[in-house]
Amino acid sequence: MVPLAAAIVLLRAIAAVGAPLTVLYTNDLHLRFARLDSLEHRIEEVRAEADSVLLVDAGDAWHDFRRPLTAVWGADEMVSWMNQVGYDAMALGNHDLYWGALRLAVLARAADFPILCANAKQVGSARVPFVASTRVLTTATPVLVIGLITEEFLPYPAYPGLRLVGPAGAVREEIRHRATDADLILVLAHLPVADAADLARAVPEIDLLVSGHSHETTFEPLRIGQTWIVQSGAFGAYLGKLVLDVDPHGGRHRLIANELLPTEKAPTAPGRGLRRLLSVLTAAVAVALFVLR
Amino acid sequence: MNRWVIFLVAIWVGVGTSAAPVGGAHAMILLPAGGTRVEIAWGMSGPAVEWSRIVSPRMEVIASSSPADLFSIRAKVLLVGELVPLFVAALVGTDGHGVVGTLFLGPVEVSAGRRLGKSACRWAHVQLAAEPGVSLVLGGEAFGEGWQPFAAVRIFPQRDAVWEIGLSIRGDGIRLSLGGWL
Repeated sequence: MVPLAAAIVLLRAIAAVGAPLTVLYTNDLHLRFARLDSLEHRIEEVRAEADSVLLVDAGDAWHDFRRPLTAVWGADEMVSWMNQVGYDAMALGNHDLYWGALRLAVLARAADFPILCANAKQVGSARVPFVASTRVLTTATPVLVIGLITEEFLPYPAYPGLRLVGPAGAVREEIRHRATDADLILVLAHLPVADAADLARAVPEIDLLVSGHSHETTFEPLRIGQTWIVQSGAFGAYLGKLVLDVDPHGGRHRLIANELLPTEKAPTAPGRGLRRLLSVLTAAVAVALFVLR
Repeated sequence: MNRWVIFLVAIWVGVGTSAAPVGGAHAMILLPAGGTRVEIAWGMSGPAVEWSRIVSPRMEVIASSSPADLFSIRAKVLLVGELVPLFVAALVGTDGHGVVGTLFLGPVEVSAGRRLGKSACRWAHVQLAAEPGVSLVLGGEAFGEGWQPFAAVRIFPQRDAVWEIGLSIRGDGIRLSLGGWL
């Protein structure tokens, strides 16, 4: 405990001399593997330049039925990639729940970073594969990161162990219980920008809201009170980069820069996952024939 | 929310009778191991009660009682759980044996199954769950020759799937059910 406190004091001292915090953000990657190499290159470039970097995702990274081939095999590989590039946290998106509880638990266990969701509470003896928030100790500042999920298109009948609560109340609760040592409160909200703005009005203590779900692109971050709101489109087309001068005394944080760094598509192996998709279809046809014949 | 309200009203006004979601009709095991669920129902054929217990992440035991069948017990065993989005389960019980498959597409879930034996039947349905608090089940079932449609509404008063009120409509009338995870 003492070394941790000493580390916090030391980090605060470093922050007090003006080390900025760079927040790299993605959302709604939806298994778009063609852009991952380019995203990784961008992340490495920023890390080479900046001292203190936080890498986060606002949800829907692991699933997309619009791409049935990658939807049957891609999640494991996406988790591996996110581990490899060193994500610090990810919010749970509605699509990430489409794996079903058993598979989602396996994916979450494989992730080296916490999966966050504060507004879906565990009910009874159900074990959920996520936590409400996490504290990340960057070299610039301690950050409290809280996750939120949209209520839209949730497969809630398949998750009897989850109870949805209001996002504002959930965030307030996390701030009340966990924000003691944090200089910055970052919410990864799998919510559209408009909903994120409502949340910022309801909980003005939030410093930064990285939003998702709506696939919006905020070239200019939205400012509500003292809260900055950003979103980087979808499918990995951009890597969001926001640089903040964090006030270690809990005062106002100054936005130094925000930009969306474009990425490029690379060719991917065609037909990958075809065998697995065929297995799914064959089994589905077998069941259908058994029912109908 | 409006579209759900409109649909509910359409069911009440247009059909005026109902039945419950088909018991054991999908292939997924939803509750954690050790979880117990109870459902009581009232329909044109009288009251019915169903009790189910999750024995393991791949097996659920379901017992039911109704005027037509005083006691039946069956097990649902998840055969295929690794080919997400497809789940396939075997149904083995005193009322017959069968197979059910579910294509789990998040807020849309498609299930089809067939049971052979004493209570032979076939069914297929789609469940839509776009908003917390209510989901809709549309499908058909066949006891012998010919399919008949059914529709059901599942209402989750606490915005979770722990407790639910089910209202379903079939050719033989309305069925109202109350079910919950103990």
